[in-house]
Amino acid sequence: MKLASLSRVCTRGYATLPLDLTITPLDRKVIVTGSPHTQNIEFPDNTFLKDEDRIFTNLYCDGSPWLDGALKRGDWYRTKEIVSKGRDWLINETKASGLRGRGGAGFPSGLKYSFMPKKKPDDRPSYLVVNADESEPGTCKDREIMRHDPHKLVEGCLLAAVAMGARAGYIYIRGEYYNEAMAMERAIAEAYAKGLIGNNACNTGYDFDLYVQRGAGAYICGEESALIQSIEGKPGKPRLKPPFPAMAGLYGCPTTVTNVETVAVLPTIMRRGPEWFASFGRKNNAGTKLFCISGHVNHRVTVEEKMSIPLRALIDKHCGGIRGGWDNLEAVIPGGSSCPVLPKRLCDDALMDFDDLKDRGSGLGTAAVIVFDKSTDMIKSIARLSRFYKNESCGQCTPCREGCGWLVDIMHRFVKGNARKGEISMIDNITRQIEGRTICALGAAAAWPVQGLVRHYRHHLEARIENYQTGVPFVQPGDFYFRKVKEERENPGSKKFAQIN
Amino acid sequence: MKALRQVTARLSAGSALGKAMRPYSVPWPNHVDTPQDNERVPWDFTEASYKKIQVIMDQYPSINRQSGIMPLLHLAQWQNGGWIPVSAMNKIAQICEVPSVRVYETVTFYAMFNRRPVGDYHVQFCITTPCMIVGSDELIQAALKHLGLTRFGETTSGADGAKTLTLGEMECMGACVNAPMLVVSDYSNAPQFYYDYYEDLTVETLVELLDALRAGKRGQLALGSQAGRQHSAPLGGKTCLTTTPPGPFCRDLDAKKEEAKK
Repeated sequence: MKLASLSRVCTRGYATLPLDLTITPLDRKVIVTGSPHTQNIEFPDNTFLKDEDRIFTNLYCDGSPWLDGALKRGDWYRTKEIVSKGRDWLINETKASGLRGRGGAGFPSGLKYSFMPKKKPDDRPSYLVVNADESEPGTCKDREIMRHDPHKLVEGCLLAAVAMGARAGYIYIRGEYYNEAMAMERAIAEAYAKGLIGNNACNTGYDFDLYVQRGAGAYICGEESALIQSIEGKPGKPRLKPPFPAMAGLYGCPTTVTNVETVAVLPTIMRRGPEWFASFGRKNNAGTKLFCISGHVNHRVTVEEKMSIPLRALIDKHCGGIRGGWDNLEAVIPGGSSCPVLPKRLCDDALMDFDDLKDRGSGLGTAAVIVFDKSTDMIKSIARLSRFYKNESCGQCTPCREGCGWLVDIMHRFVKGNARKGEISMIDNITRQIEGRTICALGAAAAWPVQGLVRHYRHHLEARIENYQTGVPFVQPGDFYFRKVKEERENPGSKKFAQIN
Repeated sequence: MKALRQVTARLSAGSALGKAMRPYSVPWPNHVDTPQDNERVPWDFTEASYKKIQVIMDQYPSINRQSGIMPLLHLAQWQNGGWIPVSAMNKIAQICEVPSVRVYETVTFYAMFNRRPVGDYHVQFCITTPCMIVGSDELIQAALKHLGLTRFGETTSGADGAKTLTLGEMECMGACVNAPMLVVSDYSNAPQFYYDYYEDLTVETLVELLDALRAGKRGQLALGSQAGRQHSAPLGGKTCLTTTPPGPFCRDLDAKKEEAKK
């Protein structure tokens, strides 16, 4: 009798319980079924990027990150000739490569740079602003570029500035990346000393100055107009758009805000050719991308791979698979916390690019893959994200300021189950009142994880509400894997957590 | 004070980390006059700081001195040993030629600016979902228990000549593949400042880290990954970039498009 009840409990990671059975954490079981996905899938070699095609060759700091190592790896090689080709050539090559913004929105970069004005009404300068405020939960790729391969970014800034006619560039680095900011300052000082930037950069006659600006811990400053406000010394509260930054940005001058990775791949695209870059990935999703895979995989990693690589291939090859096997997967957030969660059935054949994930109801975002296995409390994870958005909301506009607070309060009640079933649809309704009605996209970013949860995990929410209402105490699943490891270390041979693998 | 405690109790009531956690206690939004922190206390940058300020202000157009507020606030916090008094904010307003309220609103907006004193080390845990799902909550409980504190924002006593630690939380710090992690801001030798991530923590390595900090041995700790990983490479060894990268290469930039297509 008890075994039958337990097997009913253990099927899906949430509990519909008979009233006379109290659940202890030991009874929960991580399942591995005999579905076809349990077997290892062999992917052909051309699914993956070859080492000689990789752009960020010093990702793990095997060589020196400074100018000597950069020159050996091919940075600053024939930059003078590339710059001398001129602004239009650079923009056409960027368009031909199909590069899309790597900061989350995926806007075509060549098109974006072409918006900068060629004629201005007075002698105001144009500015390039590089967005190194990498605060999206799950994302840690720009950090590797800035501390291990800073000269790619410096050279990329020069090329981007020539492409848009910018006189000076500011790299806005988030405050928490203190050491990375020091590394960037050192690289910029080296470039100035060698005459690679500054007046008459690389002997081309183009004057370009580059500065590092540090932030101080605000996610909202990753939004382009908030970033411009922050560089101007104000609180990072986004501006209404229009006017767009290309018309009136930093100090009222034409400005373009781009992500670090987008700018850092520009020199390699120019040197190797836009056709080479466009050869990776499907149509309209060209190039390579730095993926940051975190969560319940066997080995968490930041790795550069082709666009449109299958999610399963990415995780199996570079992370050693999901802990407990592919069938232990519960859900994946494919693009940093602003993207809706994808349950396992949508991840089995997902391709990591902008269009495929959008068709599945999520998005590629910053390619920060957060993996949840079956021991995760999905509701608590999304509630923690809601708390993140509420803390980071700047407070300017009412839907975000009030709505994010409501989302947090309701989500925390959902974690306990202290709610009514009708409130599940209500929270979905609230998120639709927030998204699209705010000054910036943080409101939408706060809304989407909750929408994903309600869309795919309504059964979890309802079960928890039922448990709470029937008086059965809710047990936090917790992280049994860690408890098992700890138990086995303290008492070798203990069978206490034998059910968990 | 009682009203403040009631407010913070209400604020923390809905916190998923438990009732003991109080959000953001050190960057506090309102000013209360204390003997150390009031407008009559004189405060100025040191000579060394003024040299740095000159370099900072040269980065911006000369009419836009307000841009210097944030770098100067960082400088003031390092010089002052971890927190920013109101007279420092007034001084920065004077240097940047803006009304004081512009500095006040900037300070209260950003999370890294502390308005209350911290200990010699400010230890902040990342609490966002990528770190939470791999056990940062358990680490936080272990840290509080080991240090004898009950909530964030509290400082250890520094008895027996030990360095003082203030525990705090931070939203996603951008080291998600090295989760769980924390950051240590070292104010023990102001104005010298260190800000280092300690990543891939387990309860054992965390306890060692906290003991080393209290003993003043921060400089001897391994930075970054405490599990011996090479930065963000997988724990089992690299799966790519195993060969020496190729040398400098550039295509023929003048080749015609038709030839390139062939």
